[in-house]
Amino acid sequence: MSEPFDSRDDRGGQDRAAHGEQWNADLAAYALGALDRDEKRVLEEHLAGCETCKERLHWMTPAVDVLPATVAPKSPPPALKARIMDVVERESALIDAAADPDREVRGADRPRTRKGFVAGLSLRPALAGLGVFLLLAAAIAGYALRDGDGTGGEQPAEVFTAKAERPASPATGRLEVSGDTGMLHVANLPPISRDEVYQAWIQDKGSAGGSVHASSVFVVSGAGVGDVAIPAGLSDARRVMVTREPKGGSEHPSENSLLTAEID
Amino acid sequence: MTDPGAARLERLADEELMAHVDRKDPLAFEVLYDRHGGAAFSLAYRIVGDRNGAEDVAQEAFLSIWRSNARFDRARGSVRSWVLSVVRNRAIDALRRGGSRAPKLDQDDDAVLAARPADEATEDEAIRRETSRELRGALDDLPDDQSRVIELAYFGGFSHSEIAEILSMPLGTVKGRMRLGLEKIRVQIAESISPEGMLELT
Repeated sequence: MSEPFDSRDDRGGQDRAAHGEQWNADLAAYALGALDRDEKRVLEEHLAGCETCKERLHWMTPAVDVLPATVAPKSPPPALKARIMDVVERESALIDAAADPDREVRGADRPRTRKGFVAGLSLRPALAGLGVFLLLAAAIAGYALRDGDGTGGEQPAEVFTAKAERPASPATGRLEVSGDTGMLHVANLPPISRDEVYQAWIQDKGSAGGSVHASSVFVVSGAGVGDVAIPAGLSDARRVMVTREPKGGSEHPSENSLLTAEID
Repeated sequence: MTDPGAARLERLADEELMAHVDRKDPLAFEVLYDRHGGAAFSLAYRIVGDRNGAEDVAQEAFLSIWRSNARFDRARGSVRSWVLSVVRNRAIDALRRGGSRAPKLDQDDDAVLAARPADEATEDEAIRRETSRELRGALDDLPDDQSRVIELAYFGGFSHSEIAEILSMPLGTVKGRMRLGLEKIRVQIAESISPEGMLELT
């Protein structure tokens, strides 16, 4: 039978006992995710070089992992799975389209134009790949950004509100900018068809209004909620906009912005 | 799910299934949801306290897992613990966004997972298979003062300093009760497994 990990039992000595007293309680709070940020950082620095505390944490972690099993079981509604799988299948199709751009072009039976089209849209195969590249880059950048907000290497983010550009639209959003990158959180975007995605755009600062660059493509949940990382281009940006685009993304926005975050 | 490919996926162990999820296979992801969606929703419900909120949290968590480029590492625990770590992280974040409470959680999903100590997978699986029934009352069996600080931390997302303020007790007392409570649960886990001779916990 396992006994509680005792910092004084196996290797003995006052040093080890004192060590245990100093860190044991912090390790429990850490395992529960209850340390304040500065304490967490200090403990993680200590853990990096302390086998005793690593063992102790290893021993204690299953006690935290079992806590979800103490919760009363609840059945999720079937609609929840339907919503999740709807998004998953859309994004999977997007990835497939990038891997096989010819299939994307052959299957392009959707309207290629839209009211308010800004520039001639031609969804070239390479662009479909670009779209997914941006999607994947967005995912990577997103986690990198959030990591920067969490465990280390913190870089304070500036937050800007994104507002709907259409009358009576309930769309809302929030743009968090950290240097050249950012995370756009959106809600209540208007629905899109299976052949469409949302796309973020960056408009530079500039005397002539600033040029517009394509950024990440993304989809949202059934409730119109989603997060998308902006992997680059924000250090000199005037605003970030969101439009609906054909699957794979576009080189130029095909409609006026649905949602805009003004940065300056 | 009647697709032969799906049937094959359903026979895979969680860890093998994750290799398919990592390759963005939607059928594999559906199997993953079928296995862990109930536990995920239950945990989310326990933390946020209402069905709509729990649905949002579970949806965010599963889509985060789907979109994550961080590969599942079996050395860092079971798939279920991995999934539930993300759910808990998202649920606490939802509490914070709701503003009704002010829990702290400054970790992203990957940081939560990366913080998990390695080499506990076998033990974790044993816990899942053998002890969930016995351990369902693990918190109830603790003295109230210990279960309360653990619940406030794990399900409420409060830091130990916030808990000290809420309960009007010294910080050291809160930390000590967390430690004692977790140690007792940990011993209970060991006792529920060892008689079966399944594992030698150290």
